[in-house]
Parts: sequence; structure tokens; C-alpha cells
Amino acid sequence: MENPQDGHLRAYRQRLLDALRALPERRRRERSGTLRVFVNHEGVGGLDCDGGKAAFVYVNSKRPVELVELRTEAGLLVGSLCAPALGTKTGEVRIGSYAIEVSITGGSQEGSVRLDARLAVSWPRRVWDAVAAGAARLGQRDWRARPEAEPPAPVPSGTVGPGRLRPALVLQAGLALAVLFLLVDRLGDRVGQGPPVAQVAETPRAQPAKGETSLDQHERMLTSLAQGQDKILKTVKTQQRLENRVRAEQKRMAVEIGHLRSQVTGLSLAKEALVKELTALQLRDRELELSMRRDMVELARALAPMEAGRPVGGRLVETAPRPSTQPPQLAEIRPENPAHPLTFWVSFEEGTPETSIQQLIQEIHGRRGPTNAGWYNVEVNLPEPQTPDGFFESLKKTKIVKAVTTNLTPVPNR
Amino acid sequence: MEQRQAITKKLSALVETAEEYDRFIAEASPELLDHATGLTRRFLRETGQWADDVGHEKLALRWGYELLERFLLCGRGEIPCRPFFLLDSLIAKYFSQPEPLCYDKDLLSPLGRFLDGLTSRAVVSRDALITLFYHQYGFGPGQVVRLLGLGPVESQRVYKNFERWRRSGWDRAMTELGLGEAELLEIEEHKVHRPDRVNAEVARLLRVVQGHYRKSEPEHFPCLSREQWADLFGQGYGLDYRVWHLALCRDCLTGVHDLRKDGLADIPAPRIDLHIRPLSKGKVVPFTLNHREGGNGKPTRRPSESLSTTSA
Repeated sequence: MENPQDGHLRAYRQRLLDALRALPERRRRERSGTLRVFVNHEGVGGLDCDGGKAAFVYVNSKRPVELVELRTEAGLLVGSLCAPALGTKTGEVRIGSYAIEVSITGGSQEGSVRLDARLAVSWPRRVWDAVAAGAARLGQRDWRARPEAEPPAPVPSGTVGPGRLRPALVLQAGLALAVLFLLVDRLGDRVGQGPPVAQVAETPRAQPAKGETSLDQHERMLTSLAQGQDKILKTVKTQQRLENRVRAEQKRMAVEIGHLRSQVTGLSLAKEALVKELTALQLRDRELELSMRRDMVELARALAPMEAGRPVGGRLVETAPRPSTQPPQLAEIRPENPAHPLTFWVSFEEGTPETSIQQLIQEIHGRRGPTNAGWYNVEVNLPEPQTPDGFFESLKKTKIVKAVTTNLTPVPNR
Repeated sequence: MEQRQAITKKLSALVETAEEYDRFIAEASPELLDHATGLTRRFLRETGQWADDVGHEKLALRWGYELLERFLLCGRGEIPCRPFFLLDSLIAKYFSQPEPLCYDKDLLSPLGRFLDGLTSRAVVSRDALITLFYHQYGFGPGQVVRLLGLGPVESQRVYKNFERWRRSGWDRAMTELGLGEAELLEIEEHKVHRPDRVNAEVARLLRVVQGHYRKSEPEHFPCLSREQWADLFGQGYGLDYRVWHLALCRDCLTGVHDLRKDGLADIPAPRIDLHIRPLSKGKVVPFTLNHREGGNGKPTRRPSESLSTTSA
């Protein structure tokens, strides 16, 4: 006895097989609309085919493109193309009245996809095709009479296939067949006019009138066919002119884009040059600052020997550098004369690094006290005859010093 | 033995034209489906995700069918080729990805297969994607349009999506998922008798499937912050992103509703309310309007939504 579950599975499998067999017909009946584009099974965007022409470009510089699929809004898969290992592969997908050219460029690390949708057949062409198809059917009467000959196979939708013949060639072929048909028909009429001679004898006026009417009709048809052909040729020429204009516009835009690119390159180079100049100026500024500091130290050194030369209690002040652990400039600056301590508050420019502050305090032989809201308390032994004002003036000239005061009032608002 | 050799010879044939390819596919589709199903079964076995039961067999059949459907078109572009071996290579390539299937044992029940199948369908079909708002939360097309802040052109598309799904998409999806009428009735019956339990189960399973299938749309996968959603709706961009992300992210949908609730007074906050069948034409979407308090303290009812009868 069969397991009911096996029956369910078999029925499910059969439904899936039926769905597979129905797919080609579903694709043939499907209209275009908005198509969803999938690259490597991931959705990357859409292609709207309702506007006559549409294009879609996708580029991935990090992963290779392996597979491109197109689906309708109902989820029906209508086009699929595998990427080549290297190079470009192109295919065509037909859906509804649209032909979509799919180009995949493959690579080991990157890939790109381009889709170009266009109406497969324009409306003047459709009209003329209908006329040519009618005439062509007469040419195809031959293969119908000969069953062993095969009719031309239609190109099913969703397939990758070759492009169509140029419209003008098919147009010419259709017209030639139409003319052939008319000639054959006319000859047939003439041959068919043989037997009713008696009728002609009996009704001499009727026979010539019938022949003239048929000939007039054929002439009118030929004239209208020729006029139709002229109109279509004019339309084709207009379309070609429009295409040429579009191409010219594209070229002009490409040239403009090239100009813009070169301008951007020029601006980038100028920017780099400016940055280099700015760096050089900053370096020069730093050098000047260091040089100024050296000058201050030299000045202090120059002042110290003048004081040291004055005798105090019969004894000259020793000015030679003391052999001590302290650096020489400190020994030179410090005079024998007792210096009076001076305490003051100093603030520094925003962004001044702590190391610069420390360096300055060391240079003026200061002793650092507490800090209060950006103000540093410093005590120095000010050598005579240097006055505090003179000292403050020279200190304020230092680039990193913002302000100096002896009396710190409540912190002002910044 | 001879029959087996004949089958092997037939399946390893070389096709050189499109006509030969079509003929091969038409004649060998049962063997190709069995082969694709067998490869899926092997993948599940070797990754420790297999059990010998109907649920797993149906899962293997379903994925075998989906892979074969892709192969039928893709293979045409590789002519001349040996279709059987080409199918092998395409399926192997597919299963070489980190997470090709959304597998969870709880997704093998009828309810799980419904949710998983519907969401995987939503990845490839916009009709299924839009109607997720109805199947998961009970929102009709009008509410979807207002919730997502869509314009007139996009709103027409939403109505068309609902209509096409109702007309043919849902039936086709149920057929391809292997969900028969008995199983659908079973789910509906459970929902009638134990709605809270079913909705809680749906909420739990949705977190699994939505997290998996959102990865199929890399651009739409990441969630936005509240400020980013406000900017997106305020500036009026990202229509595609709204549709694709909010259909597959319950948290963001709730957040967006909360963000825009002032303008969505008659649309309640999204909560799980499973609907198995598609929204019928002309059917009223009954929101048990959970119930706003009126000025006198009594709950007030607002007119419910009517589906427009203008179809595409």
C-alpha cells in the first residue's frame, strides 16, 4: 500500500514538471514593464522598458560578475547570461516588443554589466512589415506546397540570438515580392481571359472594361506602394539624422568632460603646490621663533656680564661658567648679585603644547607654581638692573605668550 | 542496466544548436529535475541539515526546481554544451556560497514553508514583495501607499502588484512551494483557534527569514536610524529602498510608523496578523481599531479600508 506522503511528493513533483513545461509559453506572453536586474543572485536595480529606450549600468570593482538575470515584476525569469572568465560577452533578451542587449565584462576581481533596451520594431517598420509579410506569404506558398521544406524558425523570447537584418534590405525584399505578386496576378488574369471569347463577341463592350479596371487597380496599388516606400524612407532618413545629432552631442559632451577633467587635474596640482608652500612657511615661522628665543637668551647673557663687572664689596663677580651640573647658559645668566624674586601669571596662546611652555619657563629660569584657568604662576629671580616691566615686555614678545600679569583677577569669559 | 545506460547516454549528450537544446530540455526535464533535487539533497546531507521526512523532501524538490528554472535560460547562452554537466556546475557554484538556503527546522512545517516560500518569492517578485505587507500585517494597498509615502505613479504600481498577485501570483507560488489546500486550511484553522500563538510563532520565524533574505538586496539590507528615516521621508527620496527594506524588516517598519504616526492616524501600528490567502478584489480590510480613546473616554471607530476596485 502506497504511503500517502509518497503520493503527495509525487503530485508535487508532477506540478513542478508542469510548471517547467509552461515556462516558455509564459515568457512568450509576458510584457516588458519594469524588469529587476540580478547580479550573482543579488538584486542591483531595475530597468524600465516602458519608455522606448532604457539603459542600465552596474560596475563592481571588488567582486567578479558571474551571472546576470532579468525578472519581471511577477518574478518570472526572462533572461539569463553567464559571464565569461575574461573579456566581454554579449547576448540579447526578447521580451514583449523589446530587445535588451546584455553585455557582461568579466574579470578575476571585478566586473561590469550593461543593459540597453530598445523597441525591437519601430511603428513604421511594423506597418511595412505587415505589408511585406503578406507579400512574403505568397513567396512562402512554395514551401507550403512542398512539405519537406522547413519554414523559418521564430526566435523565442529570452534566448541569446543574433541581431536583425537591416530594415532597408527587408523593405526592398518585401516590395520586390509585392511587385512579383502583382505581375503574376496580372498574367493570370490575361491567361484567364481566353475562354470567354464568345462572351466578348456577345458583349463586346464588357470584356475590355473588365481588363482596364484590373489594370488600373494594379497601377494604383503599385503607386500607393511606391508612395508608402517613399514615406518610410523619409522616416528612416529622419531617424538617421536624429541619431547623428545625438552622436554629435555625445561627442561634444565627451570633449567637455575631458576639459573639466583637465581643469580638475590643474586645480589639484595647484592645491598641492599651495600645501607645499604653506608647509614651507610654517617651517620658516618655526625657525624664526627659535631664532628669536636664541636672541633673547643672548640678550640676557649680554646683560649679565655688565652687572657682573660692577664691584660689590671690593670683589668682582665671577662670570666664568661654573663647573656644575647645570647647563652653561644657566650659569652665565645667574649673576652673583642677589636677584629679587618676581612672581607673575602668564597665559599662552591656544594650542600651545606643554613642552613649549616648559621650555620657555626653563629658558627664563622660572619656577612653576599652580595653574588657574589657563594662567600659569611663575617665579623668577629677576637680575638687576632688569626691571619687571622690561622683563614682561620681552616676555610678551615671545610668540606663544598671550598675556602677562602680576595680579590675577577672576577669570574672564572666553 | 541497458535502460540506465540509455539514460546516461541521453543525459550526457552534446547540444550544438538552440533547437537541440530546447528538444533536450523538453525530453529530459524529469531527469533534470530529479538530478537537481538529488544535488540539493546531497548539499543538505553534507551540511548536516537533512532528515528523512516529507518536509525535507519537499524542500529539496522546491530548491531543485528553482535551480533548474535558472539553468534553463542560462544554459541557452552556453551552447554548444553538455547541459547535464553544465547543470552540475551551476548548482555546485550556487551551493558554494556561504548561505545559499534559509534553513531552519521550524521552517519545514506548513507555516514555516509558507513564510519562507513567500519571503523567498518576494526577493525575485515585486508582486510578492508588496503583498508581504498584507500577508504579514494585514495592510491593504491604500495603507501600503500611505505608510511608505509613495506618489501617484508608485501607488498605481502597488495596486497592480496586488491585482497580479491575486490573479495568478499567489496560486503559482503555492504550487511551486508544494503547499496544498489541506495544509493551508490547517494553518488557517490554527490561526482561528489560537491566533496569539500562531502570530507569536510567525513573529519568531519572520525574524529568521527576513534576516536571511534581506541579504539578497545588498543596497537595501542595512537598517537606517530614526534620523535617517526622517530625512529620507522628509526629502522624498529612496522610494525603492523604502519598499524593499520595510517589507523585509519589521523593526524598521514599526519605527517608521512611529515616526510618521501623526500623518497616519487611521493606520494602526504594524503588528503581526497573518493572512494566508491574497486580498480579494473588493474585500474590506477590517482593522479592529484598536481602539483610540475619544474625548469622552469611549473608544472611537474609524472607517475601515476598502480595496479599490480599479485594477490594472
